[in-house]
Amino acid sequence: VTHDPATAAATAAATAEPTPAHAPLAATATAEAERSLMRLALAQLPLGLSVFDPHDRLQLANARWAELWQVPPALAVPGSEFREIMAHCAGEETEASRHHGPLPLGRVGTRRREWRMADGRHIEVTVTRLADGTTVAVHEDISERRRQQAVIERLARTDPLTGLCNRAVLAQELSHHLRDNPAAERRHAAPAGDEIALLWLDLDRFKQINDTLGHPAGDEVLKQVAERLRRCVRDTDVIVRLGGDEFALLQRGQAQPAAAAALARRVIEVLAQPYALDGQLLHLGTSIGIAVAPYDGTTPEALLRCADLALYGAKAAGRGSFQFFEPGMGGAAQERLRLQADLSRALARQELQLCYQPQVHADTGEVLGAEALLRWQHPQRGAVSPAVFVPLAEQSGDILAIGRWVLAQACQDALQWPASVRVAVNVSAAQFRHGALLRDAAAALSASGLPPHRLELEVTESAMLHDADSALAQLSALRQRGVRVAMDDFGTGYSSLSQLRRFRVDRLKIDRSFVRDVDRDPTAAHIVRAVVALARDLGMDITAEGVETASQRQAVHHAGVRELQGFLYARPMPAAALRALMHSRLGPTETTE
Amino acid sequence: MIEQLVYVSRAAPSLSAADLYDIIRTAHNRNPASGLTGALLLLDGRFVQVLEGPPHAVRACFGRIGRDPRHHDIELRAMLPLSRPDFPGQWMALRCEAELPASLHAPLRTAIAAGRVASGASPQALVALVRAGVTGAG
Repeated sequence: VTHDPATAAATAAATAEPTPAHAPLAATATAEAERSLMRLALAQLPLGLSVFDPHDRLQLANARWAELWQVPPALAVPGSEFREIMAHCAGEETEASRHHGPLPLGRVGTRRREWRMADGRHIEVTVTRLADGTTVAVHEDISERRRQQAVIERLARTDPLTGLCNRAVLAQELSHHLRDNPAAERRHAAPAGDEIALLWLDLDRFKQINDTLGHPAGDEVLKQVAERLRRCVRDTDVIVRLGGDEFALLQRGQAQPAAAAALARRVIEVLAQPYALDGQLLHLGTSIGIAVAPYDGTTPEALLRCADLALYGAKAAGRGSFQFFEPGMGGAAQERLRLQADLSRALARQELQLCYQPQVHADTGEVLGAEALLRWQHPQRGAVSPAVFVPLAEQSGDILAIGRWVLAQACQDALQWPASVRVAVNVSAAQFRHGALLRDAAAALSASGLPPHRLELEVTESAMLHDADSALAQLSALRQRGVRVAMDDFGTGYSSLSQLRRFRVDRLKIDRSFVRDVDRDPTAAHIVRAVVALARDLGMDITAEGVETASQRQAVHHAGVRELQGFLYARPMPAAALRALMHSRLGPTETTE
Repeated sequence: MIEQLVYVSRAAPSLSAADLYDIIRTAHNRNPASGLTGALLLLDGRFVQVLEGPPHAVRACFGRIGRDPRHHDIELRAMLPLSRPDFPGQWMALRCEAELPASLHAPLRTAIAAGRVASGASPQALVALVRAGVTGAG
């Protein structure tokens, strides 16, 4: 018996091939040449090959097979029992492979099986059983493939910045642990410690760090936060970075709510310590919302929603605090905070869009301009009214970034329209206060190349009057650049004639509340006529908005208004739809009232 | 000056783990802001609760507790001025039978059953037992 596995296997191959006794000499010579070629091919094959007879005795194998399975040379010979060879195998079939099971006895077919060896190698075996019970198997070392897969899987589970688990892991872990969680209806019993607490936290004041020191500084802070979180939790807890400055902690096997409260307190305290960054000390805080299964919900979705609502409850309670979810949460104040937080991400997530409502000449039907109207398509709530979200954006300061975007987008869209058509953009009081309006408008014009006279800024009376001197200075600077200014919602504020002379706007837009009643209420009609006379006197253009019926149209037309805007002509529409409409003349869509 | 209030009551037969969780989470959500601390024990279907903090907060909280349908037969055992809290940092520690040292079961049962006017049943003794239950010292 040879001790060289290669020779042994080759011997096995040789002996396994019976030589037909009656074959002619020439044929035998050819057969011998073929056999030696086959021996060579088998020895060179990078894959292991084995053939076991119907009685599970080795019939044929190559050297690679013996090498892969580290078969002792004494066993790498024909006739060795499969069972005995396997007894020497330092490894076991993987769980996934066992799960599929071997081919049932007596069945013909092919199966793929996988073994993990004691030294960490993975071997894949493709086993084919022939009709007579002979088993032919191909063996391959797939360690490298498995290693790469493991890396890919780890990357798919990891947040690259912090090395924490990512959102996908949270969903997996939650559904895994929630699946078999016993119900909470244990009478007179204490909570049994099988609760799962989900802590959802975000950093207070993080946005300022990103905005003032830049994203690399923000990233560095997030890494430090992750490191501190690691020191707060137990081994069984899971830390997840949900994205941005949001993190989640999953706590299992402890008495709730006491354990989650203790963890939340610890996290708040630890994250409140100053952060050293480039020799500078930064201060952050955190707010935490907590939901506990099974009490608050038994699905990942329910639990996440509750923790999210509780987070806004915590923010409402004051920064640096935590709150457990309570069924009453989701009330108006929290809803506001929640929406405000969503809004601050809406721009980056491209949830904001502009629609345009044409301004039409009453006699010719010609489109003279279009007012840009901001729309927010919330991923869960659908369309949110500007009346709801604009005040939120003004309060949070997000209005500046949003206003900048609106100006840029509107100028770009207007460039696609005929050169005679203006675009009107609403401007918030906050944009005046921060003095960013002039810069943003100039940037939007130069980036798009839109001639300044085609941009008209619509400013409400109250925004102008808030800080009249500063507003006046900015408006004159804008008008000097050729940008037109319209006073929006005219008639609802308190501007006196003298102020109107001071501001020298290009256009007055009669508020829709007067237009609504102009055909029924003599007072409204009188105001409209007075405004028209005033505008003529001061050399201003005039537009009536909110024209919805033919009778209103007739009344404002009778009062002398020629530029009209309202559902009677067209509803707000996307820029592309308006572009298609531009060359046609718009007439009233309602012929009778 | 803070005030300490001690009462015992009988848990509603339908009381569940979810109810207990709700009682304690509500305490955790409210008490840090109001400065209330204390402990709640549950033994043989009887509650013992100690509430301490600013007098108005203690009384407002007890007013809500009195209307809570999850317990009845409420007996107020003490309402006393206190210089220092007995349960500092405990927004509402909950201990149920299994978590209470066995050696405390009998004295607690006696103290709970004693009633307001029974001789030798001082509220201070009851509070001491609750403290022992919370700190785990038998």
